[in-house]
Amino acid sequence: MKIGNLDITNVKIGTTAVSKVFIGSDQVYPNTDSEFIFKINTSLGDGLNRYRFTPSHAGAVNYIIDWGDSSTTVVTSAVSSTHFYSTSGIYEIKINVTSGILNYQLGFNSPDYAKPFIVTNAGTYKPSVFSSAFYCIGGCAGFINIADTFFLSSNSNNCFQSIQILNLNLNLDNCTKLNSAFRATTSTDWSFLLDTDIPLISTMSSMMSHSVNNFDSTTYQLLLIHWTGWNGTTATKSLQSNVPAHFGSAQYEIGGQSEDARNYLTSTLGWTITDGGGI
Amino acid sequence: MASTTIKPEHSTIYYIIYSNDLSVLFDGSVDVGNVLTTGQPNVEEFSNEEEMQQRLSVLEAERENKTI
Repeated sequence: MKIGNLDITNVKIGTTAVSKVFIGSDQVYPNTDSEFIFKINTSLGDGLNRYRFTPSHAGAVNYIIDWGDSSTTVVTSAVSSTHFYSTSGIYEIKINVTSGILNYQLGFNSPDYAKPFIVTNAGTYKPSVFSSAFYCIGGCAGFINIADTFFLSSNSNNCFQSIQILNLNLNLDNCTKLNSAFRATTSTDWSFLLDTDIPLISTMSSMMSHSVNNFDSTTYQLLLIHWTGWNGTTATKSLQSNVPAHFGSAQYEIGGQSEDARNYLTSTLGWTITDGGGI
Repeated sequence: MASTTIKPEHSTIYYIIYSNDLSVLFDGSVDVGNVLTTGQPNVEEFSNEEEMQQRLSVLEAERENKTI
């Protein structure tokens, strides 16, 4: 965050460090970059010195692509943009949406899905459809390592499927669908979910499924308590009814508050939960 | 609302879960090592996907008739 020209690196309220600062729904700290930023490696995949950025569009859109080699493309209506590099290598691509709607597709929906990518900045633009945005299968290898926040759209099915999460922050306030969102996904730390609330979520089928997924029991137990707002006696947060949810092989604590919260979800709200059972 | 649990011991179990009015209706599978717990009143289990799909088409037709 900047005040004038000064970078603010340690934000505190009193003596307590603040990890994020929002003005409205825009995160201003950490990271003030407005662009969506990711890196690609042209030597992999088809090996050609090019990258094809092929987002899905929903109506008029204007955006600028900084290809990472001192060249830019201003896009007004094209469905896709192809850039040729003079030499192979790793390039940092920045997307700056100035108006309209642009939905990223870096995973298997991209023609250059096999050129592994790492997303380093979510930016301030919020895609209207996040589903399959970073869905990596069949030779795709994607990484997410961002300090700012992705605001997931209503339909965010498959969004992070099969990628590797190094660092991620999410806002799920407007999200309704997370089917297979983290299927076969690994994360070095799943605690980013503890900063989310899910007031509108109606389905999370297969969300954490697949043997590769490493969603852990400690985070799961805390998440059950957090998402329900369990206060030891009852839930304090509003959630949708009849939600199917898959939490992989993570286990709740038998006799603990996570079991109470889980029982509330299934018995009172009619949820269908798949997990690793109790410990 | 009572809850029902499916805990496969030897192989994957396929299921259809639905509410009495069929407004909630979905299918899936539970692998060995996983546990499914649902608060929905109707749970049907199948040992293979084909049987499940046949039954699901019947239930979907039933739901279609209810909404016409």
